[in-house]
Amino acid sequence: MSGSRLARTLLVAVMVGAGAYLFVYLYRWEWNRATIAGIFLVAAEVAHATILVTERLAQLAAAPSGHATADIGTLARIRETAPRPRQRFAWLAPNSGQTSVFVPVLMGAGVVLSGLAWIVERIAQHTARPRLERGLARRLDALAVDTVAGLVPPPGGDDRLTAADLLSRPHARRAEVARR
Amino acid sequence: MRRLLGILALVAGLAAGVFELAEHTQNRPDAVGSGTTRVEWSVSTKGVDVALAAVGLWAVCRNTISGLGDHAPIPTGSEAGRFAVAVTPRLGHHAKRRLQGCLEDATIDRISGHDVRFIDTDAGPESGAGRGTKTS
Repeated sequence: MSGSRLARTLLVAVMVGAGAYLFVYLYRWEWNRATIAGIFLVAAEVAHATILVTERLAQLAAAPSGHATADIGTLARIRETAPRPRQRFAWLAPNSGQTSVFVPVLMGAGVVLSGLAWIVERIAQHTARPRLERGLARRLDALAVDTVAGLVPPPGGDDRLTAADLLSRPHARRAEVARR
Repeated sequence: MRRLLGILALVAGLAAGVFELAEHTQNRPDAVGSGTTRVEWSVSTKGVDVALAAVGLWAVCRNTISGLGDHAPIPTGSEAGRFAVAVTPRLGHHAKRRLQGCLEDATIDRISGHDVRFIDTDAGPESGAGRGTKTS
């Protein structure tokens, strides 16, 4: 039996005895003795755990050469059978050449913007266009040809306007025609 | 299935053990009775006067019971280092356990009490709280 195993066996015996006496003293209402037994129990547990940890560390420190040879085949096997890594943000990759995410977004945005543009166009059609047409008609009316008198005043009349008057002041000409 | 039954039995055993331990270690108030309890115990010391050790031990442990001795511990005369105190009213079961535990515990350095006995005057002699005499 190695020294470590012997020490661990003794520590386990101490733990069992101290734990048993801890409860016996508690049952007897002997609190000072129970405290002492509890201290022994905790000390034995700490020592036992320390021995286990140090032994495990020693095993890990002594094993690297054996692990190095064994890891080559194991790692190769693991890498061969490993599944392909998932690219969770593939659409962010600059060289993916795909627009799988942006195409629907762009299509949706285009539909929405087209709808908005159609609404604006319809509103403008019913508001701005008639007003502009009426204003343009008023402005063009001043250039309209007098269909009653024509471009040339009737001969013989002193009060007839000259051609220059017709061209420069078409409104006056039309007002006089209306008075007649 | 057998594993599940084993786990259930283990859990039930642990729970029963915890409840049993709590039952035996939990303190409870005793019913106040009539009569007197005579407490006898032996004192052993290392380099300390036995009579002084008995007085000091009783001064510490009398706080564990509600009744108070009407006298300081006096030697019984039956054997060397054995003292007795009369407590009124009579001590109950849990009070006897607390007092015996204190007298036999390592309460004071180099002083230890043992062979505790409780004698109730109404019920006649009673061996100490069901534990008999023991040496600590």
